[in-house]
Amino acid sequence: MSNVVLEKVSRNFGKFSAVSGVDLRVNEGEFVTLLGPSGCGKTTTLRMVAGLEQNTGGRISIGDRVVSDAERGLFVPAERRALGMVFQSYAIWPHMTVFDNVAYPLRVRRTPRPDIRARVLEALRLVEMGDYADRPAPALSGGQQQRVAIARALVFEPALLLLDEPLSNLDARLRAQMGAEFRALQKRLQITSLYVTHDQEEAMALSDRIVVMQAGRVLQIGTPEEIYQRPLSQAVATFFGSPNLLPATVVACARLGESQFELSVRGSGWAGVCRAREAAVKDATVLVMVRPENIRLVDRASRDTGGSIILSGRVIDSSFHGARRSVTIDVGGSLMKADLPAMAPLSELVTLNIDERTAWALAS
Amino acid sequence: MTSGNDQAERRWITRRAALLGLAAGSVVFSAPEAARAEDEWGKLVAAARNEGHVVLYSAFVGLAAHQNLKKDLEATYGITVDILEARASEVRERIRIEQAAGRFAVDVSENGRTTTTLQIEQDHVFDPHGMLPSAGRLKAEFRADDIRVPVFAIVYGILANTRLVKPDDEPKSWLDLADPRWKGKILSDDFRALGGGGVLFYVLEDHYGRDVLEKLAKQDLKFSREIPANERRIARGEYPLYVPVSLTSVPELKGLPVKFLAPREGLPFIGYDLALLKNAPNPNAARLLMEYCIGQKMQQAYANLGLLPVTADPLSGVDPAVAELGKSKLLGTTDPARMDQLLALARQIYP
Amino acid sequence: MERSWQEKAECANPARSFASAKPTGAEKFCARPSLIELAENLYPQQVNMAISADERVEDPGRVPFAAGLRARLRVLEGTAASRTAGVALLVVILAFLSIYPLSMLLYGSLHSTPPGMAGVFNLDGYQAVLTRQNLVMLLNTVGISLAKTFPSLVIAVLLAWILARTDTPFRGALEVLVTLPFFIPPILTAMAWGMLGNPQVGLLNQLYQWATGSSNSPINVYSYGGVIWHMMQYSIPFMFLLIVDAFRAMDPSLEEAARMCGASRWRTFRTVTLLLILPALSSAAILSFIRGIENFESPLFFGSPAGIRVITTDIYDSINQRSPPQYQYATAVSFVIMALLLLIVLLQWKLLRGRNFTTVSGKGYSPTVMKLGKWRWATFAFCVLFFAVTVVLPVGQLLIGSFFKFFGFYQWDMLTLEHYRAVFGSSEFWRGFGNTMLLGLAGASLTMVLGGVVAYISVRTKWRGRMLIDVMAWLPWMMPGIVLGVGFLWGFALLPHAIPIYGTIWALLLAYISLGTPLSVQVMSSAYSQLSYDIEECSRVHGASWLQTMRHIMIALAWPSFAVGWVLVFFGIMRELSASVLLYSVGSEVLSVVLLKLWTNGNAEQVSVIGLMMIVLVVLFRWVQLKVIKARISTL
Repeated sequence: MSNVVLEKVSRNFGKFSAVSGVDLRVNEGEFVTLLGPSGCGKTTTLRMVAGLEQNTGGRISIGDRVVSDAERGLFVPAERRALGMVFQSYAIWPHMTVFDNVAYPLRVRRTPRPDIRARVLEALRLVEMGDYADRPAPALSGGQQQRVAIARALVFEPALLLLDEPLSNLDARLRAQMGAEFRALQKRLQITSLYVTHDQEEAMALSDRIVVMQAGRVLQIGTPEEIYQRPLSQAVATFFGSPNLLPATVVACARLGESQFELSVRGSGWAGVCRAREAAVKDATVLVMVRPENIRLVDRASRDTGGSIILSGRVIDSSFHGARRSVTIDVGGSLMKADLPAMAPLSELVTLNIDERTAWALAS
Repeated sequence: MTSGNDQAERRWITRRAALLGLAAGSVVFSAPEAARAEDEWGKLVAAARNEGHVVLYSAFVGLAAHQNLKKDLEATYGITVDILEARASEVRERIRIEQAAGRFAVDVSENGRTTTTLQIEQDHVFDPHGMLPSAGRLKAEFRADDIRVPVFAIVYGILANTRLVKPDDEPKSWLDLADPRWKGKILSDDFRALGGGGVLFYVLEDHYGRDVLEKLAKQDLKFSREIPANERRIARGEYPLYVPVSLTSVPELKGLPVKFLAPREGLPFIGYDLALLKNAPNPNAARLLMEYCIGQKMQQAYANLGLLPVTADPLSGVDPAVAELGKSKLLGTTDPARMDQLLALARQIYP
Repeated sequence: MERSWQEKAECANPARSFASAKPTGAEKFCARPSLIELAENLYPQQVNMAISADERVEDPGRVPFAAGLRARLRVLEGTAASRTAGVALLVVILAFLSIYPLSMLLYGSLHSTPPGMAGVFNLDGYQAVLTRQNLVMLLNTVGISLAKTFPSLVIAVLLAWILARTDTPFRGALEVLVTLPFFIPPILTAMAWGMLGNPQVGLLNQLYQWATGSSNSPINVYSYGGVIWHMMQYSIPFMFLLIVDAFRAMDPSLEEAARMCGASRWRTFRTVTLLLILPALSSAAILSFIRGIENFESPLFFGSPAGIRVITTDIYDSINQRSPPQYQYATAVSFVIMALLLLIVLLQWKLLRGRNFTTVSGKGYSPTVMKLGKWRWATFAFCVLFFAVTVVLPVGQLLIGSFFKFFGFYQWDMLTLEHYRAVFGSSEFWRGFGNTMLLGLAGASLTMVLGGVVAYISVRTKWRGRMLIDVMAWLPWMMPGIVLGVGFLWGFALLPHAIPIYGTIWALLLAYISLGTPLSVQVMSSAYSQLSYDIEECSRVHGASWLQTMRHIMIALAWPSFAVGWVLVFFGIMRELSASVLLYSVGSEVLSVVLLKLWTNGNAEQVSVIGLMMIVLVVLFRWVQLKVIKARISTL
């Protein structure tokens, strides 16, 4: 196990830069996810760590070893980085059996034969594929191939495991299951993992930390909670779900702790308190991010919840989702989405309450 | 590979033999000259045995008599013969480029008169052979000069399907081919190409002038280049007549319903020549081979195949049918100097 | 971009919802690539990242995705120095095999006399090419080649689809059978068809006359139709061999996806299957078209008697039938043809480059076959009919003919084994056979290795110089065989004497490698372009060096194509005459020269015997090959 450090890593194609100035430190045993829309540079970043692509700027080290340094012209090719990787397509070699596929990394490293057998079977047991060793690889289902790909990536106990959208080819049910299994395995083995996905739910469910990328740059690095609840920017905020963004003006600002401020804001037809990462001057305009699930329905009368934001509006659309009900509310001309308990009684005119801890101000 | 002494000796024999050749070319032999000539030849044979090997490039692909040549020279003189066969222009080009590149691999060339002449005039790849003892026995039509030694000739006639052509209808003259009854019924080797077709065109033009050929053009001749297949097509009755067919097809096609017709004017022919290559690695064996080819045994072998022997030696045991046809009058052959012009004319008359 | 694609795919792909509705089949369905990947495979530039507008500016002709790919690949291969050295070595080898003989020919076309003779440089040769007559001839040649390529392509695709993707009975045997015509020496089938289809006594016409009572002869092989038909017998199995693996290797779920989207079978075939194998298909068609331009036997045999003239017969005439040989003209014509063909090939490259049709992904595939129901007997009958017409008829003729004293004369008293005795008793035959086997084995293996390397570099890498390598490997293909043979002769003869090639068996070997490389490059290119990059990269990431990856992954996966290419090259060598006859030397006689001798001597019967032996050999090779391929496929 080892840590991975990316320092100002860039990748240019001609004048176009696919990745620029990425700084990232993945700690030992940590599960870090690169998340972003297609074309954001996440896969390129992963491939540069893998050694499948060469960074045109910056430095990458794995463990204590610098594997690529653009300035010094140093580049360690993929096969000498001792990594494990799971490809989006699994890249199971169709001409080999399951056993041969998993044994491959050991064979090319000339591991003694008995060792190979023991370690392959052990790896297959880890992914619960022990009984399939002699199957021809293509005769497996997608989930099974996925497990084989993981076993193959783990079999020689790599310093680092790279995963390039490994779940994207599975259906929703299997995706959740495989994700959970893999996370459990990762925690058990304490493998440093770098994971690429464009699926934010997957990212949140699996990761210790998430790196949100857009247009080749890192927007934010943080734990799933941080990223979800306290995004740095509107872009990060909107990448996870569809939050309500309420334009507001700062009335007052108070410090709560390190990188934690409390703002009193006023919007059109409402006023309240929210949190922010940075201090704001009076009369500055901000966007207050409110996640639909953090909106509660309150009695019109009870307006005494100090420090919260209270809004009134008219329900114009509502759809039932089993556990919750998704409601669109017209608040003074702008639309808000709220996820309410499914059984909550709904009248046409509603009053909404937002806990100040869940209202997050973003620079507009 | 050869010592300086050998080289010297070879040159010497060659020079002496050349002198001898001049002597042989003169009309009268005196007895001592004859004796000396024999002595010289004896030395050449000894040198040839010493060389023990000779290489022939032949433009007659698949000539069965080449096997006789190999066997005989090996048996008689202990000289192994390597024969490389390819089509006329291929052999010519190989020899030319080998000479140009200084790769002297071949001793003797065997090629048609036209190509050999072109090689002499354009490629300059031959040395005088210095006259051979048997050169004096060559027929009048086949005189050797100081480079070319005629070795055999191909004679051409008409091939008829005996089921389709009644004996009375058989063309008796080349001119009979212009008879309207044969319109669209004659398969022919291509007149516009070197080979039998070109020879026939040349000789007919030479003898009868352009008119006859223009008449023939109205006969709607079917030109086809694959000679072996053409002969079979006549035998199967696709066409009643095929021109020109080599006499060598007579022994080959024996048993099939075809007949070789020799028009009364005579048969066109094309001679094959042997020639000694410049810087031949085995000059003595080469000349021994040339001499052997115009000797009685090889001439007999050629005759057996339906080729025309070039010497006046009496032959025995040749298939009577072939022998009879072989005695047909000769109509003429091509002049290499005019060949190109005539081929152009053929393309004009048979566009 | 991705999202929109995905959304489209999601709604367009019922397989997904179907999968979740049916838990037992769920994994299976999802294991197969969805339309997303189909989209990715077809339009990777749209899905992959790393696209730049600047790249487009840099090189307007190239699809932008190539830039990303180039970068992806650049780092995959060893160190820069060893790569440069490797490429340089390859360039030198190819230059010697193709540029060197071609430059000899170029000299010949620009010089009044061939190399080694005094003369002057002039453009007379090219001037002589520019005549109206030649234009007509060129159109004739192109027309014939087009006329044979398209129907052949249709039939080849049909056969490939039937034999690779349907449940037609006896597919294994049929696959061997339908490829047989390619391996029969053309001169023999020409003769057989001459007997079957001549207007006077042709068997087919007699059958027709017997059946209808008319005296018409509807079939005349000595015509355009005959020339085209004779060529087709070779181009159908040729194209079949080149494309069948593309059909076999294709992931059927790509087609299933289309079917699920409501496309009919025919529509699926047209819009998905055909498009997926378009690279293989178009290269095969172009190869076949080029072969058609350069075909010599068919027009010589069936065209000349009908007054049909094509470029190859004209070139042959100008060398072999003129006095003196017109080398300057022949080489000039050849270069004009070469330029035209090169243009076509470059156009095709331009059209296909960057369109990456990887259909063998690392996800594995199960080559399921389409259940045709009772229609499978119709497809079976189609194959059998094809086999009957192209093989049974002519080969039957050969077989029967070989037992009679004279080919085509069936009388009891002419029944004989003499031809077999003559062939098997001939030391010349055995020497030629031995040399040919040796040259064939060594030549085909080396050619395939060279072609494999060239194809790898050209298809899988973006190395500088790969276009050059590719073009160099291709050039010999564009040069008519007769002329190329002369180029080798000149080239090898004029080498310094210290290089012992001329007059040895090496000259033949090198010429064969040069002649076979374009084909091997083609075969291996389509094999490689079927393999996804993940498969290769995955090996590198897991510790395998480039060489190990080549050995264990690339070659292991591409070897069925390798085997097909090997057989094609092997029999190409067996048949090659133009260069052989100019380069063979005493002791290194090859079978084709032996055949030439027999044929010129009117010995069609012995030629048939040898032809039949070649067919037996082909059946043997193909049978073994398919057995092994089948064994591999059954494990999939």
